[in-house]
Amino acid sequence: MNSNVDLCTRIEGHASIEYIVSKNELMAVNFKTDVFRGFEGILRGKHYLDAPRIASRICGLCHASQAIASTRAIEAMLGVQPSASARAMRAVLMCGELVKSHVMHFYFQGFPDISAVLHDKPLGLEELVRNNPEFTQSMFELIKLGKDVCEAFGGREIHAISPAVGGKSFTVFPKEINQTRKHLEKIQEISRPVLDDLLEDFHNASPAEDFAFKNVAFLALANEPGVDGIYRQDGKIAIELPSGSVRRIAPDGFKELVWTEEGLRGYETSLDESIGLLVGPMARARLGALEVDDHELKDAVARAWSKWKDNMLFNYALQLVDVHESASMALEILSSLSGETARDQTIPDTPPNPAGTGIVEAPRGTLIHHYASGEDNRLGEVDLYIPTRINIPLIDRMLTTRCRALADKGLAMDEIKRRAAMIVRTFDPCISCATHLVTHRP
Amino acid sequence: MEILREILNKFNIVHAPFILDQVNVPESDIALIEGCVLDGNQAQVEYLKSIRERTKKVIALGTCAAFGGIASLSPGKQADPVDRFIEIDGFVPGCPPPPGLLNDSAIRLMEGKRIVLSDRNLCSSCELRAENMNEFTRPIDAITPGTTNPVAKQATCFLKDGILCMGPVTREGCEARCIKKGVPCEGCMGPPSQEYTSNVVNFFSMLPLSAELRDYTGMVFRFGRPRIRRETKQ
Repeated sequence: MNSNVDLCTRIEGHASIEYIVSKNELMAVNFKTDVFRGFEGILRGKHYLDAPRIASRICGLCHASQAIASTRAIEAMLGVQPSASARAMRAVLMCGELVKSHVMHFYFQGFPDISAVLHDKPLGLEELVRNNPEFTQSMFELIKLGKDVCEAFGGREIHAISPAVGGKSFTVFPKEINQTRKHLEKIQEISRPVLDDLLEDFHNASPAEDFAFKNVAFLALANEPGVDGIYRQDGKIAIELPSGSVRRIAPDGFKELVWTEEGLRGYETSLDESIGLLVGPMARARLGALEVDDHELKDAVARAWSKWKDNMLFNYALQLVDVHESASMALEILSSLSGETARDQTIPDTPPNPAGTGIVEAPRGTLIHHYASGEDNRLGEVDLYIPTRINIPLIDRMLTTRCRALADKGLAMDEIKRRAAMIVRTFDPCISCATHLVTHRP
Repeated sequence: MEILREILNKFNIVHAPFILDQVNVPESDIALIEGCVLDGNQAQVEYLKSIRERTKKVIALGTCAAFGGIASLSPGKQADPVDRFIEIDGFVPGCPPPPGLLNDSAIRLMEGKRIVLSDRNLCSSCELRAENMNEFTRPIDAITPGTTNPVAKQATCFLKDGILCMGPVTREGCEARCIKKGVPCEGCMGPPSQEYTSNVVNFFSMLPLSAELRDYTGMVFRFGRPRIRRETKQ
């Protein structure tokens, strides 16, 4: 048995793809992340008012989601409800984060692959920048707008400081609210034509076999049909099984569906082993969390979706839909912001609940922080459920199935590797987040 | 993003696994390295060495690369800055590096100049800096402000208000953005000098810290550990 490990390029962080060969036959292909930072261990024993600031450092891209999931877990432990204004502020911050994260992935990592698959024109970065100046300009502007929204509503462009247990660290003033409104409108204006063209391209193309999946369950934090709530903050954990049936569970009952055991590559789930589990924009769209209001756009998404709904390449299109619709929802939310004092709640001296769960939809999917209360206002046991880690077993399954099929067709190993990396990239894996596994317990 | 555009106009990016398929490390003029080395990971160390051998100027970008960063809090793990393994030609601290400092540093690098950092602490430019910084009338027993007395904006020095702020032992250069938003300094810009441990000892010996905060390991070595560290209660 030989193992051949290649660096996986154009992803967020350092990871590899491992090709296991026996007697000249490709046996398995795995996505490997082999540096573990141990954020559960870092958070354990920390003061519960300090934890969100530390949790934000788990990732430079989804820093706000990490901080807000952490804040919500502690609020659940303390029995504290943040005000509507604080929740609205968090929603706008999460929108800025999503715009920046999705557009960076789409432009730098996804677009060259989309061009190769849909138009048979592989692109390098230099060609992308030089041959597509207007497109490049619009993508850079979207990234900057996302950053500016994060700065206004997070206090900094990365590692937000506004989420605080019980509310928010500071108040956003009318001048910043008005400026952010303009930013969000601009995000919609710039992203829409790119999205229209992309959806048309997908509609005109045949689904690419490399990215097809089957027997997959989809998981997302989603509101029940007809129930109002803030996108990516509210709702139940919803799971759609391959049969099409949907089950919904209250957020603090998440361990009925997914749980962790030390040393596992992914997570244990209550699903049959043959079923893959997927989180992210595909799951949000599937479960109705990601809704499109505009009729023309809704029709365009539906047309392309009908051909590509079981194909990971379409995740790129849904990321742009997410950008456009998140800006739309953040615009609505802005109107509910009011100028309250910085913190909204009195924090109890002792947590009334032994544990708390905080769940949000990060750009890459469902993110869960689960903390047990420890002594002296410190955190006890900490469990983190990270979207990329939830997706890893499915990534491995798709890699192995497809690469073995391509090898059977006689494709050269270099070509198989090129296509394997493209499969991985569609999931938008974030290695900073994924490399969190605990390897040390006191 | 403006500075990235300028960099793309003036330089060829020859190696950046985040955005390029190029795997091998080629010859280059400037390398910006992010992230720390965990537990002396051999592959990471070899990677750093290959960059150093082929690059004229190596810059540690961000607090993880410069001091080890947040992973320094990980129990049982060692987070090292890149200069533990290779010689560097400068660093840009911050988690994240402040935009102003990042832009200035990028411009200086493009002009072939060295990166310039202040060696003063954050208090020296803080608008909340109090008189008589070594006199405290109330114990310091909180790590965040206003949880029981909501205020619209912090108006006085956090330390004078009984809230732990790492400004006195942290390098300036971040424009005190957190403090201006009502959040005390966590120290993400790192120490202003090499003598961090003695500075911290002096600093903490001055403060009327509560017993709880005196034992708290989450703040002092949050962004980098000294090479020799006394055991403290978790």
